[in-house]
Amino acid sequence: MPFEYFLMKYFFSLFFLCVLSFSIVQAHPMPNTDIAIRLDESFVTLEIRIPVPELVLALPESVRMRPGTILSDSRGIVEAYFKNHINVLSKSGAAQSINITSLSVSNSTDEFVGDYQELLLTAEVPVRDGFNPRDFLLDYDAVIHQVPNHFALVKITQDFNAGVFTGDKAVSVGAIRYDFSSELVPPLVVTVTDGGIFQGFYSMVTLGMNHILAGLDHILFLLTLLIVAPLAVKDGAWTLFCGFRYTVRRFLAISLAFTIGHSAALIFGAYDLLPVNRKIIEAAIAASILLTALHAIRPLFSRRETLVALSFGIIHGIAFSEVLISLRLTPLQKAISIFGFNLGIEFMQVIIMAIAFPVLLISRHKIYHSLRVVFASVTVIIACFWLIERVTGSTLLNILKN
Amino acid sequence: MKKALIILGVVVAISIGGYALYRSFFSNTSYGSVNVNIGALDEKAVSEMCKGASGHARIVCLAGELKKTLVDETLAKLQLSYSVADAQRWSNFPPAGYNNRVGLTLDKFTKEQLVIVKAILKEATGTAANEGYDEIEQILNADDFLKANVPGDNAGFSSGNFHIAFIGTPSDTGTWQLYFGGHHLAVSNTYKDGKLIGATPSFRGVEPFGSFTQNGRENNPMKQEQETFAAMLGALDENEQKTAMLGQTFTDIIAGPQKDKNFPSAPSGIRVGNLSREKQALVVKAIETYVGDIDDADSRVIMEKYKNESADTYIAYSGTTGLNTVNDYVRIDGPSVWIEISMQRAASWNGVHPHTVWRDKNTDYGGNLK
Repeated sequence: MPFEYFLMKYFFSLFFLCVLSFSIVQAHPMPNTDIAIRLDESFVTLEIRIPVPELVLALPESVRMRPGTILSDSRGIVEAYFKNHINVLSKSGAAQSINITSLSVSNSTDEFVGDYQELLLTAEVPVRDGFNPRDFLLDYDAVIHQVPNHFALVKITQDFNAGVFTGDKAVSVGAIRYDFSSELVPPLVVTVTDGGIFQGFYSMVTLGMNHILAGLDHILFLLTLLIVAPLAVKDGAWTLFCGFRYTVRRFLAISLAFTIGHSAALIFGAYDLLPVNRKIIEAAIAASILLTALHAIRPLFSRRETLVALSFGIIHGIAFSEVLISLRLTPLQKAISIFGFNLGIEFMQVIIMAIAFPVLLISRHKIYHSLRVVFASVTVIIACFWLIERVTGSTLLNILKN
Repeated sequence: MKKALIILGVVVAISIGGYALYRSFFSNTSYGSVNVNIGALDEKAVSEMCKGASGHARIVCLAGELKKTLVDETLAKLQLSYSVADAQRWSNFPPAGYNNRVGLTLDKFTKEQLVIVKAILKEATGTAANEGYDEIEQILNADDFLKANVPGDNAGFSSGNFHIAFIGTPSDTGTWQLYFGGHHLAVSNTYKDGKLIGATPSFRGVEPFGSFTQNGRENNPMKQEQETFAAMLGALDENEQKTAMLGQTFTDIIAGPQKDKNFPSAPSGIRVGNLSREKQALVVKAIETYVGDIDDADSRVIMEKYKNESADTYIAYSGTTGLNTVNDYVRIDGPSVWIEISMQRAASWNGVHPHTVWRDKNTDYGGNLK
């Protein structure tokens, strides 16, 4: 009984975790400017997001009147404006050259302001002698010089040597504000501690572990794949437990195939050798979970399970590699990252499997049939949610509402 | 197989239903949505309470009566020890934008307790129509209006979500502050040894801006601020307007929440002492729409001070002088007084809406802010 009890509890918490993960809403204050800094060996990259309604107040009257066409009609004016208002200086005060590499406008939404347009500007500062990318001055006053209640929040969003790789691990540097006593916008000192290459490696292992732990889809996929490991097919339906050695053999074969698949895809993907379309891959993962779950209810591809695990491994691996591909790393950093990231993924997978394996032994009892079907059905539903959400790019609630 | 499909279908249907139910449940329970309708509370219940006492003495007495009715747990939230850091925890945002306010929310009180809260607010604030208590009541009504009329709102609108706190123990001796605030409202009255020593920061804003019906009455709490300030700016001649005009654009006030002492080192705009008597009187009238928000006796004392300093007070604006267009902004900057009005894009309703603050450079938080 304790096993079944545990399982039921487990399924329910799993299900609610899924539902919860849909409901996380990002809180955002009144739209200010966001400056994300990415540090690497050769560049300091600034990604600046500015709400267009605030930006146009600082631009010439002619631009202000037509905020919708800010880039198609007035790109030159906008670029010239930013050249005047973004400066990066070394600690000794030497101005660095800045290249604006991209400029685009997208739609954004805010709980209090509603929908508004946002300008995204990317600028690169090449790292030259005498400029320390871990200790410099950001002399920035776009919008703020004209709209003194406006401010810019500055964050480091990527920095290998400090173990920062993703947005949610971003390190806040501070805010750029208008100083009313001096009537100036003082430059912000950007100082980042250097953790060295081991900090980078260690963080990559943690990132890999968290990626599995947070990415419920991978755990669910793995469990659904393994739930039929102790079983065989008879008359087009699943049997009960077929022996300990049989189970171990199938368990290892499926896990290994999945691991080989995603490891290979991770390596190729991280070196940009695989075509990646985030939307398609995410949808494909949902589809793979759906298929596997249906398979767990009634066998669909019982003879080719290893092959299926391998190919699904490749899909999941491409998704893993996306985390790495977005980072601009040196070859050494990349190699370390792939190794560390994969190590983290493996480690977490082994833990999950170790927990899952004893549960499979319930398949000696008849109750396993219903447990399997309930678990697989719940997974089917969750996978359907994911598939719908990922294909449409909208949350399920919004879809239901409309 | 057929049976399995039917079962699957049922499970899917139940799950989707459950999911939708869960989501709606989830979004509705994030913040309270109680309409306390403070205006409709019958004050007869407190007319015999603390009889004979007035002003600060009555506030202290009423606070004591309110505290008597609370259990330890709620009392601990209402009654804090005096701390400027806690006093700084106010905001113009609804709960979804700022959830760090101190005190108890109104939805935690019974009707009997709410009447006492109402009596405390009335005693601490001005009696004029659309000022003082009446203005506060309408700002609360505005939140109930938004809750009722903004579909799918999850910002935490509702009069039940406004906070009251005693920061320091209400007493004839020692320092304490009465805090009352929420979306678009902050009342911060600091008392020392029975006397009001600070009436600021005092934030007022409202959305919807313009007349609206809610909780059985017409509401337009900030109309007279807009009209009085527009009249003050409109009276300036062309040259005076040019001097008063700021070069910068303001999409919000600059001395808002958590922006204490955020004043320019030197005033901008036009010096009130250089204006004609009539125009000076309009400036005084404009200041009165804020100082009049506190009880009449204290308000007279503070107005006397601001009048004496009015010659060295500056007025400045940006945008249009009508205070009816997005990014219209006006400021009164004196040796002590600081008032800002920013007309901004509507967040949840139509048109524009004001964010305004009255601060005192010397007596914000009773002058206890280091």
